[in-house]
Amino acid sequence: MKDDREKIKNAIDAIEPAPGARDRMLAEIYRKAAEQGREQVDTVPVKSARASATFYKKAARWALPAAAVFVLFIAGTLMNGRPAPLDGAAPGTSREEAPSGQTELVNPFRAVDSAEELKAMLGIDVRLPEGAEDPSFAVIAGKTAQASFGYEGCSYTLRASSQAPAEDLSGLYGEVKDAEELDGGGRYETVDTGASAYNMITWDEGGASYVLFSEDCDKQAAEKVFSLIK
Amino acid sequence: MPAAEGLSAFESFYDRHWKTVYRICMMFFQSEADVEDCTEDVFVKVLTGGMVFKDEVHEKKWLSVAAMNLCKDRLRSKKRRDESNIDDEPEIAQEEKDDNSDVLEAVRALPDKYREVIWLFYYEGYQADEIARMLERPPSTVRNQLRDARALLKEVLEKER
Repeated sequence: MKDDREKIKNAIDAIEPAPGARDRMLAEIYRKAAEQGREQVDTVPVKSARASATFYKKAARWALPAAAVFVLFIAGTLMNGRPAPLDGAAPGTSREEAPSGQTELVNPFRAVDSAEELKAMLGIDVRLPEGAEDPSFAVIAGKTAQASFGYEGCSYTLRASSQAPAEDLSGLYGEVKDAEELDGGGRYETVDTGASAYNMITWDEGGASYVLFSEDCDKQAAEKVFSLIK
Repeated sequence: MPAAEGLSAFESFYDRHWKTVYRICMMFFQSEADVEDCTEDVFVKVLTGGMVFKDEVHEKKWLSVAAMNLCKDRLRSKKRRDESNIDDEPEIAQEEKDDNSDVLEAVRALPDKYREVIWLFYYEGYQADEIARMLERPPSTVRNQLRDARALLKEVLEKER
């Protein structure tokens, strides 16, 4: 049995992630977490609008879906959708309930309502091109402003920070393939993360560093957005 | 904790555990893209769930169970997709064959319930009773699963020789 244990342990210990996997996954985790944050924010107005309905109207409207959600929740829990509770710990315990000495992990993404709110919180100007679709705004770790939006069929992320970023402000942590200085003070780069390629433009303005990037646009489209928001 | 500290707390947490979670996912998937995707999603769960952990042991236990549950879910939906889609995804390059990859392949070939107990018992070093609590299974079931998993592993490894 000791021999088995050693064999299995050695085989698992021999698993080494691909080069760059740590940073690539970390960047993806942040991107996915931000995406989920947006979805949660998107659901809020729906809830509050419905809250104004009368009690009976509400009850009639919600009884069936609520029952369905409850059944799905129970089924999901029973069918191992969640990890088993361990040693009486409460994985969903709220921040206020955390006694000192425990590790508390807070989502560094905080959704905000507008570019004005970003300006008020961080003192950073975040401008989007006129006609930007479905814009959403967030503050990352209390110091980086983020806006996500669509424009002319492409999706863009814009980040800005007035504190010199210690690492890649875009969070892409990819390999820069091409680079070019642009008219207007920006620097264009294509970034390969291994999983995707991004068109990215960085620039400094008003004491802040900016980065605009997109996975689905081409260079021309990125430059157009840059010229509109710079 | 201020939000700015939240980010570095998360990154320390990530650095403590990312390889372990990656390795768990590797026991379920062969494709690097799948392994990375699962690893990421476990940490997204942590990040968006406002988790509170008592200590590092609790972190490790929670992550192990969460990662295994997520992998099992993914495998199930992948299987459903594969059944309904004749054009399978291209196979990834075979790992270079050595003793370690033989063992890993043999572990991957085990049914889910056995893979979980193998990981927790052989790699993490938990005792059967502890595994039973973690997986919410009766201790006798875990012991039987360990015995069956061992027998199956032996069989697979001997066939490969």
